[in-house]
Amino acid sequence: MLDFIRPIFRNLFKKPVTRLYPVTNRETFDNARGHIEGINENCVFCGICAKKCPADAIVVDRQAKTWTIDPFKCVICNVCVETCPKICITMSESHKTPEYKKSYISFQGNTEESKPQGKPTGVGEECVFCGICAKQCPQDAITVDRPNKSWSIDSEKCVGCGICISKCPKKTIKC
Amino acid sequence: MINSEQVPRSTVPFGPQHPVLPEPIHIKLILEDEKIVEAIPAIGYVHRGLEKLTEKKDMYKSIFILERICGICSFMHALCYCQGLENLMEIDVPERAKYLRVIWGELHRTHSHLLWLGLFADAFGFESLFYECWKIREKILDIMEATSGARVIISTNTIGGTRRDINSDMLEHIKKTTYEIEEALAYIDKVFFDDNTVLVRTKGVGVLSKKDAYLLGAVGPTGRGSGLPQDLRTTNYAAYGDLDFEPIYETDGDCYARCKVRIRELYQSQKLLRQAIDQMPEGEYAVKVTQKPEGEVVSRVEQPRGECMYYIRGNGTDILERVRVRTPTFANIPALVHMLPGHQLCDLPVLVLSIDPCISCTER
Amino acid sequence: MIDNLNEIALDELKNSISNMNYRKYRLVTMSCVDNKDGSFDLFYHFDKESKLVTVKTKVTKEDEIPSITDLYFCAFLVENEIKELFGLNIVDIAIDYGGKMYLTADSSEAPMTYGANITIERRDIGYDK
Repeated sequence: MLDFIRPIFRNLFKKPVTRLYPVTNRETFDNARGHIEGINENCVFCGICAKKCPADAIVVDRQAKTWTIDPFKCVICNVCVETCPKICITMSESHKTPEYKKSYISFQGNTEESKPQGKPTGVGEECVFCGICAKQCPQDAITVDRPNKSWSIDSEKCVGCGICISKCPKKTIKC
Repeated sequence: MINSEQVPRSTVPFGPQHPVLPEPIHIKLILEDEKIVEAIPAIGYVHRGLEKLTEKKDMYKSIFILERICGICSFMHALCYCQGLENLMEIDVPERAKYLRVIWGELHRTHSHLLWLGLFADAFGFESLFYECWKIREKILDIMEATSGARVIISTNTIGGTRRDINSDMLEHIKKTTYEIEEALAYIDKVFFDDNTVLVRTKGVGVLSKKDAYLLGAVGPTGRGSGLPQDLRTTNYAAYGDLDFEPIYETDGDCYARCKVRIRELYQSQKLLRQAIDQMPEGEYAVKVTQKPEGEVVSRVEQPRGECMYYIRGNGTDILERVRVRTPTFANIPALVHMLPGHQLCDLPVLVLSIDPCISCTER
Repeated sequence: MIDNLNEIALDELKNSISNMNYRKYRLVTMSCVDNKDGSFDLFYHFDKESKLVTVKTKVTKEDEIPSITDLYFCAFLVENEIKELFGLNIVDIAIDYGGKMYLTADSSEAPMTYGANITIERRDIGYDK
């Protein structure tokens, strides 16, 4: 009987548990998934983030060098941030504030720039034609023919993301 | 004295929109005066076709889709799916990942049960008790945001392990919080167990006998409240095999017993959390997956609401052929329908909430 | 790779299920899979003391599949679901929604079958930039 009297009296002499929201904001936690802020100029438009995005929120256009995210489609899973080979997508720790209008977050790369840095040109003699580079390439630019021991790259397709260089077990891809 | 055959029957639609229901379910009630004589459920207001969507996305993207079947037990859905695929592809998950899964799983159970206790208190009109429960729940949500980055849909599971690790400082903090939660619970569990307001509304209401519960396929706290000691955690998935616990069950089968089971499970979860933190091994928390799923597998885990079952069929590619999800509420609706006849209309909200309905789970 | 799988023919189904009922098994659920060749795999999952036993049968769209709601009343939801999402002909269900449990009057028939007229596409709405 009347067991709730005790918590009630306890609560009378305690600080409020809630915050006066717009005046006092809660501190954010480290590595919290707030919202995607954008991308910096290191982006090579490889399109891995668009491929891995579970919500199809990211669109990457290689020719026009644009990177666009629809923040209203984004489910803030952090996959793009984790898979980006250039580590150039930034996640903010604070949650997204309400907006008046729906809009994209986009980034326009420098189209004047002739060639991105770090395009692989060939392999050294250590190559064992394992095909890992071809498997990992987001643009399927590398072809490895194991029986004929040939390695070729389509430099038109290549975006210079550097994944093949870092994944190569023999560290033999030259650029 | 009026003969019961002469009492006029009336039909009352309960739901899809009703103040007590957070989600839409429709129950067509045939009443005799105030007494329910028949209940026919109708679902289908939030069917989203998520099972179909998994046939179009690759298995890694499907984790995020399946997590969104249910907000409250999102981690368990991902756990069930990932464990199924790991069994299918014969992947050895690192020991640390198994313990991390137990920790997040029990955190989810705690927050789900506290949420339910609040809603249950709200159903019989005890608003201040509702806020009291949700106040405790906030501590868990803060831990989840600090460890995984999000408050509810934490997305930490992946095939072959977990996506994040928990450092030792945080583990100490979780351990400290489990004691705080037990302390805070001690204040409110008396209210649920002994307060007159609660007893009048819950004791002897909605009695489901052990035999009926079994035949109707009741799972989770609904079944355990009727004396069925079935808890899938005893099948030793994740790291539950190394932890010491017993399934909790009550024999009365009424709303009070179901409430009691959940409160006792809250204490049990805190003990499991502390055990898991103490026994946690060091090491890797994820392995790289190179295999492709081929064949079929059935995977089951114990969610806060009961047993969840996944049937998965793969065809050797990244895209799975079929993912079939059976959620606990889907199994508990027949039990609810069986319980309703013979009760007053005013007991209906308490009865519906006592099975912890999650309709978006049910319809996927 | 399902443990304790018993494959049976459709005409033995009712016998097999009542045998399970007699042996006090709890019905977990039913699953249906489209084999993409016109046949469907129908699974009946049972549980006893946390051990899963599965009964499997192969059916086609034309077959008349007997309902098991007389033995296990709790199967009515899942039978309705399979009936409308896969278009299978399950007869004598205790509570039959007539194919309108999930689907509305204007939705396509049997959307879970292979080759159903369902398109899942990404749509760009085109917000103001």
